[in-house]
Amino acid sequence: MIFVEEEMEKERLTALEAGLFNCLDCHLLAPEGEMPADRRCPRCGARLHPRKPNSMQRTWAMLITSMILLFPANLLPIMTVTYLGNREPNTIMQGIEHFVHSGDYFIAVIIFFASILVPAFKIVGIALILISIHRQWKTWLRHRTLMFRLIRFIGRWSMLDIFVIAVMVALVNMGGLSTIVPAPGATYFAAVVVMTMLAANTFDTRLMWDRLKGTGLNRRSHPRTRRDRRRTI
Amino acid sequence: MDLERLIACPECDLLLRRIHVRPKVKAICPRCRSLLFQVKPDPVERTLILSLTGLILFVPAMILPIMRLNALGLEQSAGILQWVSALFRTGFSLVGLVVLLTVAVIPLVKLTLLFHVSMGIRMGTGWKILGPSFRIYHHMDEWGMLEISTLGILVSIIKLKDMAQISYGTGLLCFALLMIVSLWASNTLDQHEYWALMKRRKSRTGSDG
Repeated sequence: MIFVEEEMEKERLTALEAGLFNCLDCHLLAPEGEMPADRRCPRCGARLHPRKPNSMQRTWAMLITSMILLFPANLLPIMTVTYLGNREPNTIMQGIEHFVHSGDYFIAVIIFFASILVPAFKIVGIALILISIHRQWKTWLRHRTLMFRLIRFIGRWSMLDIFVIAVMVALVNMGGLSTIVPAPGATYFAAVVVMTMLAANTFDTRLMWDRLKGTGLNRRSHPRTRRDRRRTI
Repeated sequence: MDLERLIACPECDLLLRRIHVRPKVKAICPRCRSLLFQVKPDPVERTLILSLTGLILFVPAMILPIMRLNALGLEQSAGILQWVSALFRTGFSLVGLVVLLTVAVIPLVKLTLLFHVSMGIRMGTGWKILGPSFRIYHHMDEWGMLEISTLGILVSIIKLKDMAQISYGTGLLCFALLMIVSLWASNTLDQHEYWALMKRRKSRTGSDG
């Protein structure tokens, strides 16, 4: 491995360029030349690939699916509230309006973020990143990676509305007085959240950086630490 | 060949020299700024204790009622299992399945796997199944949604407060504690150290036999 270290001195190198597969499950570096026949990681047994297999196609497929599902999820009611015999179906947006009318602005903002903004941001964000790879952009790499990290981090929180529905349906079941039952939009909405999470999981951020091929942002060959950052600022 | 001295960034594949950092200091990729690793103090012991605590809290958190609703003499209480059964009863079994998995099954499996792997490393037994177990944990990680459902409970309390009187059950306390302990356990966990410990022990037993 001395070879790699010498190369690293001259120019930055990706693991793949050095003939190493990085195991995404256990972070072991496995040399391509000594790969066992089943191409599994010698430490954890995960199947090794240079990049996640068919990452672009799979991510596009799941992203388009979630785009389609987003329409019924937002247009159909997610739950039906029956109060003293009055049936009132509620879409996500109507639920937010209820909070605004009753003056709970904070909750209205949280639900608006989790149920409307985050799914839309996720879908647009991942689509932009995928397009940027198709068009071979070499700019804004750090920002795009940061955006993807943010998408992965906040994506799960969209599930919030599903849990609210679960609590309400279980609690408000009082015969003739008041009942709450889920409505078809709930299933579509849960599917959107699961689909976008799967889309984020099949996407490989390294595909963005592969476009660089040696022309780098800096020449350091070791990780930064918090202390470093203070010094550079 | 000393691959142990190298590390590759999982987000941009840059090959880097592994450096020693003090506990709690984050090692960050110089190119894409992703978190490479962070050394945690006493990862095995802390994770072991926290996952055991989580497992103890799990049963009451699932079974006991979270809250009780009271309107005009009518009363309704519900715990986590009632959430799921209510969704199944009203015909929304897919949503029910998602809730069952994200709030009950996956958090339980995650805690069990953490306990199993930490115990295995501590006792030095069962090496062959520790690797696959830890991999399953790694893949399940983001699908456990205890913290999101806790926020869901808070939102529904605000939604219901004008409609009826709400009283809180012991289940809510247990559930909140379970959430905190689970988050804490995954935070004290040091994935890199765990894999390194497994690798080391494996090669030692390999040379013995």
